[in-house]
Amino acid sequence: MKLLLVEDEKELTSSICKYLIRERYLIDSVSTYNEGRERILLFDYDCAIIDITLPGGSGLGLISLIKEKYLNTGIIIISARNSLKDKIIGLETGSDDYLTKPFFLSELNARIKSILRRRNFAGNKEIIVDEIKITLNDSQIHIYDKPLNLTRKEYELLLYFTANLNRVITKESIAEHLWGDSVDAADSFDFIYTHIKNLRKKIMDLGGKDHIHTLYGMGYKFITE
Amino acid sequence: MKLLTKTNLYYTLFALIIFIIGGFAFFFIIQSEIYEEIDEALVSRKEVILKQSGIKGEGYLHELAKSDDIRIIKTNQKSELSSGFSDTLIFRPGERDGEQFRCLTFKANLSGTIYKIEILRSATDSDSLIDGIVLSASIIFFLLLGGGAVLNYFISKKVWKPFYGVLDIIKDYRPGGKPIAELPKSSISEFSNLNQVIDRLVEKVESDFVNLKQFTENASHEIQTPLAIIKTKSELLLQREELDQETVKEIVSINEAATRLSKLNQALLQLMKIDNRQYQESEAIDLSALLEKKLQRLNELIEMKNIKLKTNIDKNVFINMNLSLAEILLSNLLNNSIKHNIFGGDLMINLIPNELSIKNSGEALNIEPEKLFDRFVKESTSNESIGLGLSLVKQICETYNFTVSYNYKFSIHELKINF
Repeated sequence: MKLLLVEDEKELTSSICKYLIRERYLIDSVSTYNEGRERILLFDYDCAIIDITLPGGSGLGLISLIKEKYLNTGIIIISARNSLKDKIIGLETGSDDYLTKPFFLSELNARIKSILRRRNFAGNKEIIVDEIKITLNDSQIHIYDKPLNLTRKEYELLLYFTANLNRVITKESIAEHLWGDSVDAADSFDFIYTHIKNLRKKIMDLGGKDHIHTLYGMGYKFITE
Repeated sequence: MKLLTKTNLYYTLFALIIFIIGGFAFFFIIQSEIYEEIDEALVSRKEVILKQSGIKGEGYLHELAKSDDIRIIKTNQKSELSSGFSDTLIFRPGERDGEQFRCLTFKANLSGTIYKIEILRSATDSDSLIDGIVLSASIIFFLLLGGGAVLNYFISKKVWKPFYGVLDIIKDYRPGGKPIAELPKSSISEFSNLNQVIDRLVEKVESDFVNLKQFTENASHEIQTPLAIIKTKSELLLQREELDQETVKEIVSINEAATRLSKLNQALLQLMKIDNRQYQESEAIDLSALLEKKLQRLNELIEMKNIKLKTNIDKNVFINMNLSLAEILLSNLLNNSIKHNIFGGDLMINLIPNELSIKNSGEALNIEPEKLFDRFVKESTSNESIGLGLSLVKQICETYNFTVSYNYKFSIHELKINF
């Protein structure tokens, strides 16, 4: 998979690259509009992660350029602008997703994977993690070919985990991923514990392994062999 | 009070004083003129009498004494006799009011006999004159008053017209809103000066406003980038295998603090944008549907806290406002009622046309209720609370002239908004 990252903040670029390196993507990272334009004209990418405010021009221009050239590229905007208007403009220009800074790397990773899956028509839409098989088209999960019934939130949680295998995921990022802005109504993130516990139990009831490890005070980790 | 009414009032008061003073002065001047005239006439008559009596003798005096306006008294007391002018009232039979007379007393020496002679002349003419003066002065006064009012009306219609035009235009002016229309031209130098000053002022306000808006927005967005770096770096740090428990805790704290700072920053930006009236576009919003949608999203959090939710939401309650602001308003109200609710508490939501009421169980406030809507006032020790939620609610309500009120009774907090 080939990714393009256009972000002018060097440190943010380095963080993103460091996190994504384990996913075995090929990442081109550039920091200005013109560099971005050059890359887009030279290569086709599976996914582009683009900041809106760039030296030399607007990221929206790059998005239009990508859309003109290679329709199949998935696009994620990463921007500090949080207003509804900015989001609508971004999505209308042709981006698939809009992530507001600051964001969790685990969230970015999950969104990239989701876009790649959606864009990749040829590939079979299945995620296989050890004994767990997730069929995305119909949201079915099987453990050792036995069907696993999950609630909507548990299913989303499992997908989030499988996107970030063997990584530390904070409670906060899980809460934000599952509940978005509604998380402001909660007075702590402890409420996600119930969901984690149920998911873990359901997997293990069907003979699955104990994948979800609690890291005290930190979050969770989905461990695979 | 209108400027013209005010000037009119002063003008009338001034005119009244002038007319009273002027009337008196007029009266006294005219009266003294008349008396002078009468006195002159009396003196010349006196000379005629003295001259004639010298020629014709006593018989002439007797003849004279028959007329009404002359009295002749024979006297011997030389010394007591005073001569000169005096005023006297004479009552004629059948008349109630005495008649004002001017009287000249003098003596005549006719072959050793001294006569005291009083000649009279009516001064009544001057009384009616005074009446005339008062009447005509009053007529002039009221004519001026009425004329002034009519004149002022036309002046305000015509001369002040460009001024009121300017006033109408700048009344609706909002920085960052629609540019102001061209100010009506006027040949009056004060008004054309005023127009120039307003044009300059508006230009300055506009550029300052744009600068400030851009600055705050840019500053706010610039803050988000370093926060993004802090968050991603701390997240990367957490991925390391060799961390001990203490370090992990510190890193998680750093990460959470960065999130809070970012939320605070966003809330402040929203407050500023509402202050600057940057949420201009408004549309008819189906508040009922929006409320239901928000509640649905929060449903799980409500259940997890075992909160008993009772809703009474009228269908199709529409309200004209900005969509973003409506979302912020409802989110903050609902989040508040859940966050500060107690485990197993109640949440009652009522929406009828023109009123939204949200009631939730909860501990009594530690702060005075009036301060509830102030910025950075927190009613709980919850770390996650940034203390701007209700300020945003208040600000939005003020923008649309909604009234928001708070009530606490029997362990139930109630926030009510009237549209």
